[in-house]
Amino acid sequence: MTGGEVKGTVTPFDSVYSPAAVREAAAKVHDSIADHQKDLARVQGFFSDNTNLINLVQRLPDELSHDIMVPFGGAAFFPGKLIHTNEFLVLLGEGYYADRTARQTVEILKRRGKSLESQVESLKAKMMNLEAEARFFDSTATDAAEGLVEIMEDYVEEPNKCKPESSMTPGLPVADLEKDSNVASISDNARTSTADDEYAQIMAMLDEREKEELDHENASDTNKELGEFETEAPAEDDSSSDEEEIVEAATRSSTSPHSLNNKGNEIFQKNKLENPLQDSNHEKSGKPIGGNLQQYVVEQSQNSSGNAGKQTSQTGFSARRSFTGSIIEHDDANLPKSSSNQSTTSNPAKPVSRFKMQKGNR
Amino acid sequence: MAESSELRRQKVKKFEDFVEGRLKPDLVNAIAQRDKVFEQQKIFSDLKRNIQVLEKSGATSLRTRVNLGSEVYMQADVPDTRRVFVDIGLGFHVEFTWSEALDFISVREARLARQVEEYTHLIANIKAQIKLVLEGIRELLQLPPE
Repeated sequence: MTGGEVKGTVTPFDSVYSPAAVREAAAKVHDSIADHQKDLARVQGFFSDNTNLINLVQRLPDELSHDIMVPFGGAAFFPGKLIHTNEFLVLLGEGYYADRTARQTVEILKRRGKSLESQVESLKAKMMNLEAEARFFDSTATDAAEGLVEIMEDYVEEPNKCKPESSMTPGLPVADLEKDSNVASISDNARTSTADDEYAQIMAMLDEREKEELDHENASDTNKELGEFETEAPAEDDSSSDEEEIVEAATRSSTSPHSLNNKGNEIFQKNKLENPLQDSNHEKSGKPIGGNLQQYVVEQSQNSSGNAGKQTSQTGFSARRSFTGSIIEHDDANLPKSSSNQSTTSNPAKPVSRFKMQKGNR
Repeated sequence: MAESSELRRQKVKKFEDFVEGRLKPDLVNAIAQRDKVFEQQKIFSDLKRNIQVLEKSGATSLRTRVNLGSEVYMQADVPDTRRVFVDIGLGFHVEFTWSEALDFISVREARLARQVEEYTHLIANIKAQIKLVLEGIRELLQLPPE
């Protein structure tokens, strides 16, 4: 928006394309079109000859012999007749001939016809191109005659313009920022007096979009959680359904939603809440599961280890990661607290917030 | 002086146009005509040779192949070769015996030879005219002779 100096160049069309040159080029193209027209007529003549010959060859074997005048050189003939009307000698090319029946000859001729047809098609395509070219020259000539001008202006990026934008909108993704700078520069180029207003408007619009997007994402997350919760809830205890749900998200396919299992999972979930960033290998986490659970129930170790085995084989990478994170940070002091905590949290709102936290930290 | 040079320029242009627009197309046309006559000559000399071969062998029937177009041939039988129909021009064909045909062909060949002579003369004439006009242009421009 610095205005003032001249940024672009203005070139009248008729200085770039002189009328004489355009006329010459158009004449050349028209000549070439005429040449192609001649070629096309010639090839189409061959094609019609070929069709006539196919008809003749098909008709000849109908009679045993045909009375004809047998040519004798270019300027003389004898009265005679065609014999052996189902025997043809066909040129295959390069001086080779083959004895063929009428049917076989017709096949050869049809193949020749096809190649001629493709030649006709390619010639037609070429002519279409040339005609388009001729039209272009004509339109250029008329444009030049009408005094049309070409305006060219180099695009200059303005880094000092971009910086304040980025500070103003720290949350904006890179793509949006780029868009903004583009918009800004476009308005610069236009040099409109209302450029700043427009810019503010656009920024407001973008912020709105951003908010909408965020809301939408949250909503979809909630839905996902809720859906999982609903599907899993009926099979589980009230106290542990919440935790089980998330473990289910991790394990997905664990087929034995035991009460014992659930208790163990509760603990994992609590720890996960506290340390959502923890990532480690699943192999590491396998053992702690068993050890911790043994403190509460003897049987649980078997179940959980069984679960762990299933998880390794059946769950995806992301599921594995969340599960392992919970296990590593697990310690004994937390256990009673977490179990008591989670027995009370059976409302669907909690998983949403947890999920969000996880997401935000990631 | 400027006027005379302008006049000279116009004259040179006129001569050049005459050479390019009239004499050269005439020359091309005459050469094409002569080529056609050469072709006729060849056709009749071939016919003469063929009839002489038939005479020598004395065959009265003939088995040959007819071109149906696009290099597709079929066998044809001629039961009686002693009478042959020869093109005498203007789309007329006359039924000749072998000796009659040979007489006609010799007459025809003589005529064709004369035609060739005429066309050759015409071509030489046109070429001479072109040379003359070019010489005239050279004189007008006062260029030294080559």
